[in-house]
Amino acid sequence: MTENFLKLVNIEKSFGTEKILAGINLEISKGEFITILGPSGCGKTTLLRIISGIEYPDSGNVLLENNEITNIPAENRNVNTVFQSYALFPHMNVEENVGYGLKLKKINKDIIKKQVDEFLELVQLKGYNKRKVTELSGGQKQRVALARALIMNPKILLLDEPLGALDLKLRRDMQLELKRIQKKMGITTIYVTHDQEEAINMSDRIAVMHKGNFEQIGTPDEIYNTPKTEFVAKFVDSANIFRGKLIKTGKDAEALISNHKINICETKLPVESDILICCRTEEILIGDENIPNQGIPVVVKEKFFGGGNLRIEFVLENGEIATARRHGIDYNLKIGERTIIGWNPKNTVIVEKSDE
Amino acid sequence: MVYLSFMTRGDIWGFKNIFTLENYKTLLDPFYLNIFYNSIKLSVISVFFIILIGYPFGYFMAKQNDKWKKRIMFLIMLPFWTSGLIRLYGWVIVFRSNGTLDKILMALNITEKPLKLLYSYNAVVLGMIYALLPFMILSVYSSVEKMDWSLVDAARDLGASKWRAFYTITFPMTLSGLLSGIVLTFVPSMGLFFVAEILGGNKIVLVGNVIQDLLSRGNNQPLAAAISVILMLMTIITLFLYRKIAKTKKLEGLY
Ligand SMILES: Nc1ncnc2c1ncn2[C@@H]1O[C@H](COP(=O)(O)OP(=O)(O)OP(=O)(O)O)[C@@H](O)[C@H]1O
Ligand SMILES: [Mg+2]
Repeated sequence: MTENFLKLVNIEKSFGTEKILAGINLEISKGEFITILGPSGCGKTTLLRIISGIEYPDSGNVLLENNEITNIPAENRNVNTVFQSYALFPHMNVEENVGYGLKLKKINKDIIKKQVDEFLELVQLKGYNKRKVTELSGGQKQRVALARALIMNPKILLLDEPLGALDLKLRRDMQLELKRIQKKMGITTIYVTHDQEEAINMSDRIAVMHKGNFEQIGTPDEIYNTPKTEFVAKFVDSANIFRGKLIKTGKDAEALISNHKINICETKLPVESDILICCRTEEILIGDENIPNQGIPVVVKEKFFGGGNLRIEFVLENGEIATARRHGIDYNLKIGERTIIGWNPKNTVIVEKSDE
Repeated sequence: MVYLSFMTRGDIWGFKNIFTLENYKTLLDPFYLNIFYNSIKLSVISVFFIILIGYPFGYFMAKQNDKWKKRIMFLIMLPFWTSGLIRLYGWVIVFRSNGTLDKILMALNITEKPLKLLYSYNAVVLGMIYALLPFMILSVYSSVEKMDWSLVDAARDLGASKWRAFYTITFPMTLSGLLSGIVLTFVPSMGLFFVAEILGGNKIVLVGNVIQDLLSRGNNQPLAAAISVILMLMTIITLFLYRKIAKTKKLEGLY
């Protein structure tokens, strides 16, 4: 694997007075599938446009195979994009859309025709050559857009929420198919989404973006199990965050949460630090579920069922909310009932505060 | 009108209800054919320049921010607040020998002698352009305004230069605006007789002038009707061609 296939160094970009990208750093290896995960408006598309050369950064550098390409225009980069809205050319048919890039390269017509057929087959649209793109379904348009980018044999493939407009079932199928094609071609891919499940399912690494910054870059496992910041913890699977004060540091660290002492994960932070403790909803223990330490008194606030899970919301004595998740459709607790919640200390992580 | 065009001319005034093809036969006379030819030629020349100026103007106007769009739009609409005739007489002042234009050009040492622009072919063309340019600008503007610029991004992304992206994507996508601009300027240009009359003196006779003449002085309503029918047929053919090429029934720029 070549390290540093693509390198972004301190990319900054503002529109007017608004800073959209505030110093983005990223290194990608050849063949890697990396996902940029973040909420709407955090600057994902802007970053992709800078990588593809449609937009230039105010400062910072883009390096591809150690060559500076920061100010090279899009048409000379060999980086291709599947756009958020597909951006298929409505006045051309499927074949003309897919062959557009090759035609610009003045490649022989017969070769273009052969390649177009080959890539249409790859995206399972064999025989759709003469169809009008305006008459295709969402999923089919998406495949045409993909074929149009792949046929250019790009050094880097950029995908901007390509499955955003599709329904759930089709999304799942397309996720698998995209992954299959990406593996088969060994193509270095940057994938943009605001769907955490999609990110976790498909990526080698995930970069979680918030307000023009990467808050954490890591494998899906790292992002899920050891979030670095409050934002990452909340955005990926909406984990619980508790405000607390550290009263004992080291291996058997203890914190005061809502005025109750509770054991947490190992830390080297000094005693008296204000900390944020993250615990995933499925790791919260309730009442008689063998809480290994004292636990925090709470009142059951609400229960609701969704996505195959029951979510139980509790109010702490200090007014903060905590959520636990269980399989099944009900749990042996009534709304308004008093109980305690707790955790196994090794299932907690101390996270940094994020900007609001 | 179609009915009228097949009637016989009245002895002093009006028409008689006698069917005849005479009116159309008259139109085959070289005198009238020549007028048709001149009118079409003038329209084609005017529309050619209107395209040359109007397309880029409409295009760049659509790419400005909202504040500038409003200002430019205001300037384009401004002349419509005064009567068309008053504006034309304004042009007479500008064009006439030793008029405003000559004075400016001579002051700038661009020309030495007065150009004698008024009552010339060029003055009529300029007048036509002036009168009809806004229609072209607005119809191009409205089609460029609707353009999805991510398509241009996509073309650039696939290796198209700016210029290439323009003529493979932007131009075909805004062609309907250009075509409707042509319809909206070509059709009325055939009838703008007062432009030719005021700026061209009586040297340049267009179809519109003939109709006006036949009605006001010639007392030949049926012949005037016949000419009008031909004009209408030409309009219908233009619209038909527009639909064929633009593949739409809407005229861009008309709401
Ligand atoms: N050309 C532009 N001019 C001004 N502001 C812009 C421009 N492009 C983007 N922005 C602003 O930059 C911010 C980030 O936009 P961007 O499109 O990168 O977000 P995103 O993360 O892709 O969001 P989404 O998930 O909704 O697509 C937004 O607030 C947007 O309004
Ligand atoms: Mg976006």
